[in-house]
Amino acid sequence: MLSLIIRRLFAAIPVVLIVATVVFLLLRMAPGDPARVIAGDMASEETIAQIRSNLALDQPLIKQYALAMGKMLRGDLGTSIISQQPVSKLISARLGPTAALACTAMLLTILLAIPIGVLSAWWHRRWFDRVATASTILAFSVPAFVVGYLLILVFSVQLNWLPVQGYTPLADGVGPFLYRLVLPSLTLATVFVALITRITRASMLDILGEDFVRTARAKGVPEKYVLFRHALRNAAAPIVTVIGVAITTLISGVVVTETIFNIPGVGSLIVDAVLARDYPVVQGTILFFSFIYVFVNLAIDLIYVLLDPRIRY
Amino acid sequence: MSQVSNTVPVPAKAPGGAASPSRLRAAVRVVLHDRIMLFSFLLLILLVVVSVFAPWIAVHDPLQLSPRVRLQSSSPTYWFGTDSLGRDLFSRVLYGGRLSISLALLVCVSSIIGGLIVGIVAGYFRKLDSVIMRVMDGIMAIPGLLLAIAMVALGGAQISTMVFAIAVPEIPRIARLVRSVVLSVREEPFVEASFGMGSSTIRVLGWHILPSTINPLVIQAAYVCAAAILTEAVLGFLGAGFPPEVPSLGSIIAEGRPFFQRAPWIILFPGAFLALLILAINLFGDALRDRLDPRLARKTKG
Repeated sequence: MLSLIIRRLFAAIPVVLIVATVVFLLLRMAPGDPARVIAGDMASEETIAQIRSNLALDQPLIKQYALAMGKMLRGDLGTSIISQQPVSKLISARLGPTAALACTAMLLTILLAIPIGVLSAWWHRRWFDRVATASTILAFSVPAFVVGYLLILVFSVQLNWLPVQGYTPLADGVGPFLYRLVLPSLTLATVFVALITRITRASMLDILGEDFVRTARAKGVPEKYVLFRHALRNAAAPIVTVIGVAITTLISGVVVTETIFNIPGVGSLIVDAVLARDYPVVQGTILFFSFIYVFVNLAIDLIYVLLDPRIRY
Repeated sequence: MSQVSNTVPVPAKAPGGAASPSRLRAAVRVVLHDRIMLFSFLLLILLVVVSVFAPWIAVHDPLQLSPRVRLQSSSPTYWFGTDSLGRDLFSRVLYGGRLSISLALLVCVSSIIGGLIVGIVAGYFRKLDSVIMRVMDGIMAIPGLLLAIAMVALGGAQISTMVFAIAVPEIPRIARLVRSVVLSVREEPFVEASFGMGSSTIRVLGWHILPSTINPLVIQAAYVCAAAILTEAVLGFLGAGFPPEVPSLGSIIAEGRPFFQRAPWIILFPGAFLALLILAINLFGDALRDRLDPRLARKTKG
């Protein structure tokens, strides 16, 4: 197992380099002139030229690329134009709320989506399945910010059960911490629950038609063991894959959710940076999130091995 | 995928040249008989029509400020109420929908063209395949919304930047799809036969391989439109979209944020319009997939 982890870690290095290259190239290829945008409408040509040389935008593309890569390999994601602080420091200062939000949403998703998906497949085409399937389509279609405001309207404004916005760090106690996280996690989890319910249902439907399920039932295994021990275990691989791929959706959702609920996380860092035209922070945060994606998927590769002894790399 | 090889005839898309009247009639019959398809189609048509004809339907100017009627709830004069500057919300939502739909179509066309080119090249020219697909994997690792935010933030919010920023993250999925179709079709005997008869590579690609990608692409196009509308709205909501004087569904919602408790309709009406639009497209896409790709439909529908 250890050698596997080490081998996979090394295999991730080229992926990280490719991702960094793609981010670099796409941001340079996009139409428009960053220096002019950063400087604003009123800026003189000298100011624009000044910004261009500060950001090394006047250098040839290949030299810019070498500079950016060299910095990245040293763990330097750039320096903010506004606060003059290293981007990595800005990110780590804001990581707590984002991690808390993402983890609670993920937990909520697994607790809701997997049972609903399994039962949906079990009661295939019965009313439960139809309601669940219709709800997933609806949940897919309502944007997160609409979900968020609806939840605030119902639970905070009308019923007055939960706080409207804000964030309380874990250091102030578990109760207040979770209390503030309920609505944001629900908002973030909505799309995810829909996605994972759908894939769980589809994957379970495939497995429930297989011979070994029939055999298990025939030899008198109780139905709940058939569903959760025999079938769900075998249906797990596609579910885990989708969770891995959907991390990008989760990250996009984090950005929106943090904005709705005024949570001071990495998502609101990038939104603030966009509004302030803080170019290095925008680029650094995107790189950071992309690396998270790569490493989550690396972890998922390893989970496969634990889930399914037949898989060997 | 299958309509090219004659062994598996696909219903409602019988071989026989371009769209003939009988094929059109068959398509109409399919839409009329499938309840979900009919419902989603009608909803979609309704939303598109009110958006396209916004200048004739909306009686108020979406930009006209009337501070005396600010934050009014819905009334016979202002169907959806007014916003914090007294602008008519109904007109603003219709104009916002117009922007969303036109942008979505542009994104859809450009990402499909991009994905088609990348997918065909990767699937057909084996030497380029691994390089291209690694780059595609790289793009897929970057959260699409963040990439779009960054490109719009750096390039300024012109229509070209918006389309580019929203279309690029969609390309890898389309390219993968096209590539998988090309990989399966290029080994078919009729492709070999065509080469044997002296056809050029371009002709084989355009004449024999391209048509097989149409069905999966039509389904994908629906989802790309839905994603594009959502992304544009999110960009507007986050303040990274078009300038504030252009009514877009996302920016209308963002402007309603400070007044949310006093005037929730500023968020709810555009939100509902947005959700219905995306719902209609998703439902239509699902129904289309069930029709055009029975194999995939069985997998997800059971």
